[in-house]
Amino acid sequence: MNNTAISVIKVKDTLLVTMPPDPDDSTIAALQERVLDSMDRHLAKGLILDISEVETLDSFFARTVTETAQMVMLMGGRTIIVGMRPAVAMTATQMGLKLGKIETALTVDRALDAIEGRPKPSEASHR
Amino acid sequence: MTSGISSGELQISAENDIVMARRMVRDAATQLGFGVTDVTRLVTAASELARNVYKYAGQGVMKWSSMQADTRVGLQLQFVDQGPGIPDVAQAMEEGFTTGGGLGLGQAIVQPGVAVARNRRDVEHHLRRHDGADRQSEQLSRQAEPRKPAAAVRCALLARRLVLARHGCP
Repeated sequence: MNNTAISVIKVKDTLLVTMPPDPDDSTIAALQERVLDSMDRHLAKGLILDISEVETLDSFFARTVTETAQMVMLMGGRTIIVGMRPAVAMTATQMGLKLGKIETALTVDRALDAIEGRPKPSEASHR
Repeated sequence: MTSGISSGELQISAENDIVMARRMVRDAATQLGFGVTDVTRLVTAASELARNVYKYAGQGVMKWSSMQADTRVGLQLQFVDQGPGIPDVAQAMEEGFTTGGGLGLGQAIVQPGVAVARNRRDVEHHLRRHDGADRQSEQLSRQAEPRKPAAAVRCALLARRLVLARHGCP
């Protein structure tokens, strides 16, 4: 419906995608196409999916995210999910949502380091 | 909102109504004093059921109402549609079974304590039976684990009801 609701920006060789808090199904479906298109256009190494604003992760959302990660992988990229809220993580686990083998990170910083291939920062740079 | 029974309903006939259903349940559950985790669980379950209504029946209605018993507060969600029905209910409740190209988790997600029925007679039968089960589990949870919320989810072809009760008022 409103696929401009998803922000896709390029940071170095990585795409940073931020999901809106309560996206409708069309917005979620549009995510896939926009991400793959951007991967191709920017020759990106990977994708960081920031879901820190997302309040509800249901089976449709989970499936789309898993599929998108697989497609990014086929294009030679890596996907990292960032910022899952505690309540969302609890619900997803208790309800048996499967997010495949997608990597996760607590912060965008850490995900960016992982994709850009930088060594792990010391514990000092915690936030 | 003052204490007492409140309720509302939402027509589901467009994709965006799934979002509306989530919002309605989030507002209701928050106002009833559910914690953020329970709110998220309720909203997620509502999202699955609202999508099922839209996807398989095209249209239907979601009704919500608050419930109160002693110090317990509950939220009941009921999804009613005139959908094509579920030929094999046991199979449909299995994780990984899908006819709609989904993950097959939608029904299984709403499963704990779920009853699904094929027709109105079955629905009534299930609801009667599970009313008894609810009372039992409520009593049990009071005796054994007074702080743990008793959760019961009811799901049926013509009437899907979800009840999450919690102890204490905000």
